[in-house]
Amino acid sequence: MPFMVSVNRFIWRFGIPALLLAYVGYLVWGYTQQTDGGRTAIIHQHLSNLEAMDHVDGLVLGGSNAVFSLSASQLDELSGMTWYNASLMNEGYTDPNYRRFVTRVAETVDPDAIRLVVYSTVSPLRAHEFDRRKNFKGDVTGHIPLSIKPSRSALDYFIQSAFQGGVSKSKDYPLPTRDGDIDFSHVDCGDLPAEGQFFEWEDVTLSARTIAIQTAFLESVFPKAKVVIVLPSEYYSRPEDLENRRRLVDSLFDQVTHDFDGIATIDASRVSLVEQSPYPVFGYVCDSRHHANQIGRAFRTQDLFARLDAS
Amino acid sequence: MVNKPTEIKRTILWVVGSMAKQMQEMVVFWISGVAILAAAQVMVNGLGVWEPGALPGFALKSAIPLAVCVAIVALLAIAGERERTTIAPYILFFAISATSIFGLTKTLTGSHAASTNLLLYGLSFYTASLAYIARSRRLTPRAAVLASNPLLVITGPVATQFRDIRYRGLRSRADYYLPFVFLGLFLQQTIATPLTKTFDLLKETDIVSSLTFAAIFELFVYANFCGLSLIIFGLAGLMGFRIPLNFRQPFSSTNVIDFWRGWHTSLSVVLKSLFYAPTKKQFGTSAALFTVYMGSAMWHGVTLNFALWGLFHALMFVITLRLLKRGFKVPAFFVLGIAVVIGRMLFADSDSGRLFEKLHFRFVDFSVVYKLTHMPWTTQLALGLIVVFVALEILLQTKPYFSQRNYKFYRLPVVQFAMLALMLATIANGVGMDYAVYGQR
Repeated sequence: MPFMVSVNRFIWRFGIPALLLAYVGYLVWGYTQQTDGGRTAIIHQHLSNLEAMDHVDGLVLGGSNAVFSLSASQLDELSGMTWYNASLMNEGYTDPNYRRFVTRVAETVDPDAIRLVVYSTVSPLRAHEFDRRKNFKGDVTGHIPLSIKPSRSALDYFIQSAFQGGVSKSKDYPLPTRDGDIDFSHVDCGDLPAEGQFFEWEDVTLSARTIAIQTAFLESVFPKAKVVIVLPSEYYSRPEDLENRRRLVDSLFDQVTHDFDGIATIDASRVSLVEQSPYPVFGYVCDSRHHANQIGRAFRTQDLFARLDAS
Repeated sequence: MVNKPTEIKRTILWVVGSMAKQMQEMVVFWISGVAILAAAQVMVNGLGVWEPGALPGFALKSAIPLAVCVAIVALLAIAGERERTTIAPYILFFAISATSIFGLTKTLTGSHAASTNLLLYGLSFYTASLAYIARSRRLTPRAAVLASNPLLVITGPVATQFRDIRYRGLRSRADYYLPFVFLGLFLQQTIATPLTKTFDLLKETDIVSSLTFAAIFELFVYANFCGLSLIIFGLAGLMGFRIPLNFRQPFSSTNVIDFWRGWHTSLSVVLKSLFYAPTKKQFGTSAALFTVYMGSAMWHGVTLNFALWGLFHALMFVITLRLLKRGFKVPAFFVLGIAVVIGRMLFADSDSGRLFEKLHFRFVDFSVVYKLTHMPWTTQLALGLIVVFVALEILLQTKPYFSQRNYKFYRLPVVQFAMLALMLATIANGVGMDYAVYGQR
């Protein structure tokens, strides 16, 4: 028993404090190792591209689904208007972050000259995405302040560095072209498995409320533009997910329209809700079910144009 | 010869003095609660992220329940004895049901507990607490400060008991209570948070998926609610205040009756006082049980799924009573399994249409297995750990370290070390959602 007493005392006096100390060390080290995957440079490039443009008629906004899967230059050709793709990876991580970025975009161009704003967000198609965005503590580039939790667990780091050929850092994304599009010649799509690409449910009430708030913001920043809210294309490996998506979209659009009535500043006649066709084949996607490759981007942009034309 | 005026004066002074001392304890506990939550918020949000705008919101979240509790106690003080002890407790207890009917608060299914109204923050906990205290004829200003303690209002337990243990030294309190904090953190962070990645399965209606999700969700609720309750129990103890242990190894049970002796015990105390005791006298045990479970159901939310859940659990309880009377222990154990899984399926889904689809028990495929095997490794690890945790509770329930149902095994230094190491190695932002499953309402 004396042995047990000394072991217990050792654990409390040295073992547990040592663990806590090591954890604090890991937190500080992890904080200093953060990389933004090129996001800061991309934001600067977008702003300098926009400054260099004579005028812009249409803006593509949103998250990575629009970065990968919509092309401003293709929309130029199809519509005869001048488009710019100002979408950002992770949609700036939080809504306030992205709104700040869009405000900077509006300050760079003539906001009164913008005739069409396409806002494409995947958040309503991701379970608990709005909670994640609300709770994210970092800035528009994903940089997280020093906090009690690291951005990557110590075990994850150890497993990757010891057994999986080194730690994979956050992906580096290339600078956008002068239309704001992603340059696919510098993108490695990796090997996404064809199976297991499932539809996810998000809370419709929450999605609708957030979309209504975003719409009000976009209308206020671009006072003469028509705002098109787009639910993007995705690839699903199970046929029944198309039906699940259909059900979500129907109830979401009903709810969004209803929520528009509750926001006095929204001019509903300036807003369209558009759902894009899911990708029909796996060969259209890159490294995620909502990221198109070059072929998928052409498909989705064409699909969007047809729907814009119709609306 | 006793000098009467002096005696009365002395008594008054004694009463005032002891009330002041009790109030001082409560106020210290209340302020400590605010300080702990503020510190936790700073640590979780990140150093340097504390925005000035957050402070008024946080102060309001703490102050509003206090103001409401003080107002309730003041109103009841001027009410008659009958109103205070027989009518007010039920009005208070069902206040949350009323707000639920009018859509001011959400139902407590466990997957969407976000608060919708700052003015009603923590309402379900402090009204239940005051209902119990009023029923027990112990309603004083002290009760208002206890019931509204921010540490309790954030997620429970319902403040039914409180004991000042500051006479014990800090070292002695830390030896006993700190392990509860570590165990709570382990359950909440290493197990509950990663398991939130399985929530998407709630929408699946086939039998395999819905039962699998119900079982996982039961384990999630246990890890989350028990974990937070243990953290709060430990922190309160460290500060020198003993509050109820809200969970007592509920799975160390062989039947439903035993199970409920260990699950959300603070609410059970309230339900027993408000519904069981008065109904049993007049209508018998079975009727009392139905009243208790329907009362509990309405406290969680006024929706069809909770009504079904209440009826179902009461039925399971009555069946278990009958089985045990006849000595059928093994069937009672199976009833426990059915009650826990089917009960959670009813509890978790307030979408009636979808729930009825689930109750058709339609077989489609085993795609849920594929989904689970393709979850992040942290989620799979969490699932494995909670299965082992619960299995130990069930299998070793008669052994030393488990039989007292107070998590003694998990408070052993070597187990604490292992849990802490695992928690610190796996904790990270993005492995799941951090929230109090029974909180914020």
